Amino acid sequence: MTKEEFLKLDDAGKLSFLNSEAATKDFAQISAEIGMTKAELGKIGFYYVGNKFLLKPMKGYGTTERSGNEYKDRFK
Amino acid sequence: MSQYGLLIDYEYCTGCHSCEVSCKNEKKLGRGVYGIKLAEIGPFEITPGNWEWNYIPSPTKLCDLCADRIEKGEKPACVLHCLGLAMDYGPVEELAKKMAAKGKKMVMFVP
Amino acid sequence: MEKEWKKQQPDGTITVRTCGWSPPGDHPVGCGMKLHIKDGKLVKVEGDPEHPISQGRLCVRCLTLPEYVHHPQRIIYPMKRVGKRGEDKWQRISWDEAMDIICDKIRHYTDNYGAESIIVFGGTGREACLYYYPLAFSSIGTPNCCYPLSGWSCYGPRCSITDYILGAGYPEIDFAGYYPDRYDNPNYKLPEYIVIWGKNPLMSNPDGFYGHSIIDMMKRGTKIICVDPRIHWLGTRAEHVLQLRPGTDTALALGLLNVIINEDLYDHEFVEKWTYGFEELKERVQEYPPEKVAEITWVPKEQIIEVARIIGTAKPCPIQWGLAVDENPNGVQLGHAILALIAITGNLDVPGGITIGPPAALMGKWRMETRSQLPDELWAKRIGAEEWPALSTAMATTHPDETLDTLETGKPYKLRMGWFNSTNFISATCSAQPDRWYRALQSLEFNVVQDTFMTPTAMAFADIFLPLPTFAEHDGVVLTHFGRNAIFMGAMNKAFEVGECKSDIEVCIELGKRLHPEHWPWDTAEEFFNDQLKPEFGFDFNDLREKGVFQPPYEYKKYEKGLLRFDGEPGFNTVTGMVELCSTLFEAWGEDPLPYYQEPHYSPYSTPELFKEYPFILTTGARAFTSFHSEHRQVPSLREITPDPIVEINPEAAEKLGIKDGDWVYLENMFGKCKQKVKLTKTINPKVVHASHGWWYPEKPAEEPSLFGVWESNINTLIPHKHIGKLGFGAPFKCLICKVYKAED
Repeated sequence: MTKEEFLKLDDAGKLSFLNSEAATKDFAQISAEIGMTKAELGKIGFYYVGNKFLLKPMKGYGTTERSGNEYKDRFK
Repeated sequence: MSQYGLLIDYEYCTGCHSCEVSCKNEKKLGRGVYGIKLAEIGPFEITPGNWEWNYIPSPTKLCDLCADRIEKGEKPACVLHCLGLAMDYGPVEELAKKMAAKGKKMVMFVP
Repeated sequence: MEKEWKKQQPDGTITVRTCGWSPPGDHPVGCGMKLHIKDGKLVKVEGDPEHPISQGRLCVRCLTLPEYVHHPQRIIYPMKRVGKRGEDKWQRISWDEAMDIICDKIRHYTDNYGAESIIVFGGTGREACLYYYPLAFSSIGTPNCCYPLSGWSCYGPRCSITDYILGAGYPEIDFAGYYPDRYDNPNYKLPEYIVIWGKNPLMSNPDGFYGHSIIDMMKRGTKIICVDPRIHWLGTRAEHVLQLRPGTDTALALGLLNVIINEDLYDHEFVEKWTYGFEELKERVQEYPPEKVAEITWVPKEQIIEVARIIGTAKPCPIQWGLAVDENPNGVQLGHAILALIAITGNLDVPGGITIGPPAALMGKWRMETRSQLPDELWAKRIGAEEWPALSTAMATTHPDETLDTLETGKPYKLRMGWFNSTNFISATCSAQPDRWYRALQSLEFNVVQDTFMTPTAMAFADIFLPLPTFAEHDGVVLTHFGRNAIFMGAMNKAFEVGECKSDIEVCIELGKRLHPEHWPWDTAEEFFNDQLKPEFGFDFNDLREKGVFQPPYEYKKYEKGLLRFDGEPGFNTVTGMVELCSTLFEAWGEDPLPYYQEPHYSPYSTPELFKEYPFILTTGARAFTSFHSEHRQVPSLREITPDPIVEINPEAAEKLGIKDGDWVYLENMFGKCKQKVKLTKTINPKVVHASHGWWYPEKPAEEPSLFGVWESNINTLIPHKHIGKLGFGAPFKCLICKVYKAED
């Protein structure tokens, strides 16, 4: 997959792609394949921990999505 | 009629000065004149790690225990505003019982 | 609380109930009070006994509000400068004229140099903290919004660490603030112990925590442990004071973890189910046995062990972390270690333990959301964001130290216009080396200042001065912890007017409507608040007024119930879904993933030669009841209580220098010097001095070079620029060195 194709995926798609690759390849191979460094992946929220990729669920103030735990969601 | 007084729990008087300032507001007192004034004792170390440091507000003869406020069903200004909730107002007999019940660092004033 | 919030009294006085915030400054504590207005003037302020948190209590800053509100030096009309910068020459103008001038300048800089050439500076604590972000992002349209304190050393580091380690909003001790019946609520459990670390909450009312709740809990039986280089009043009522050497806190935290882990005092179930990296942490803390930690911190070994055993066994035993976590280049590791202590002892999100809020709620979220109104290319130009990802991921601001560098060098681009909202940072408040900022800020071509008084910063830089109303003069909503853990929410009610002042949100709306009307559909503050409140809570601003205070329900152990994570799964909102005792993110950013101790940059051990010349450890910034940082110095009743900047010195050390109580002395080091008045006290170690911050003299000449005597007692001139931690957070405001000598002048 090219970097461009990878970036077009949504977060869930990106995560699932990275982890399907991680089943057989190491980080350096995957990084080379999509042409993105560890720092670049980190910037969009993906981290390689213990042989698999994880997504930081809350991107601090970089994101404007609902966190899902707003008052209204917690106390209906 | 009972004598009324002010009870101060100086274990919990944190030295915030709210009594002083709220009293000045209530009684419209100028600078240097007080209806109640905070005194500071310490800090000094009695034994290593065992410190004495007390603040104790003392009412002056300008204190009428906020008769006007009491009449309206309110607390005296100092008692209401005390951040440590360390002041109490009432008949001295009742306050004396509270003093005895706590058993330390209590003082009662009858201004 | 009573529904009626505004009442006419028989003598014609109008009484308005409100919950306080600012100006004048304080954190969003929301204390309940009644404002008495007669003939358009605020004549008296008293506490509101119905308020569930403050219960009628009120501190001297609110009790003296009439002196502040009607102070002859207060600025109550918009003004433009008619002399040179630093000259006290001004002309009153209308709001329309002020807005015309400002909008022309914003358009000019945006069109010619890009909106990023405009920077908004915000101060600390005041209500402006909610609004200076949208002012920048949404009203003006610049990505550069700056809190100028070196290493963002106030609150931001703790919030960011919490985001990365817990994936949550601000962790606060549970003081039953969520419950109308408070400590008696059946869901609540009184803390057995509270550890107060580098903080004096009685005076600081930190971030909305009502400080004297500590006293409420002590009366019910809670015991206190203080970690502080000074024994303050609360320390004399504490069971233990760990009186550590300033800046060595992280070693102490690791030492406590060492004892708790090695003596098997931790909560196994929590550790196994909900933490990541425990084995790594366990290995790391072996490097910090109590003997070694005692040597580093000067806290006796036996006391470290005893306190560790208390923290490990007392239930619950929350730790309240203070500014000392932020004002330390080793502070990220300290915060991480404290969160680890809280987590592994089972004190997280349990009754009477540590409550955690959503990452950002209500307006706390709105203020950040406004950044989405900036295109990504512009957002990418935020100063220091690229270089300091650990800061820019959690904070929506520029990097403060990089901002000073940008002002000095013009790189990566030149800043041309400044907007100072509620910040007087050339006084010793939120900047290191304020003299250097002062010189660097001269390069700005046009400045707007929003404040209530002519401050040194306004006198030096304002071209346009926009007057702010006090909290008694405008409508607003106060919510604790700026929405990061909103324990309660209160209505702030406009009771009267002084001059022509406009609140932060009113200025945002007015400016926004002129420059970016698509983002500003509201005409009044009330409309804005209705839109914020209604979708989230189902009530509007007027309903909140009638409620007085709204306390949202609280749910404990949210991590078990899937209430923390975005995806609704159990766990924490972190990369691994667990409390990260070993941090995935720190490692990704090139930092050690585990907490470690680093000696202060200047100390008897790291710079022994310099320490011979500057033989005191300098710590700064303890709070007082009578001021909020640089504010309140002009209020006569408060100044009577605290007339001078005080430096605390141990009598033993002072005697050797021939210094007596009440002497004026100079504090001096490699970076600067200032003058303060000596208070001798044995509550401080003979090798340590504590100096006050925030001092300037409203009674001294306004014009340059005096600027109200801002340089005379300015302790921050002794604090160096950019001595920050590896992730960009923390500066040595509380752990420097200096010498002390008598001032003969």
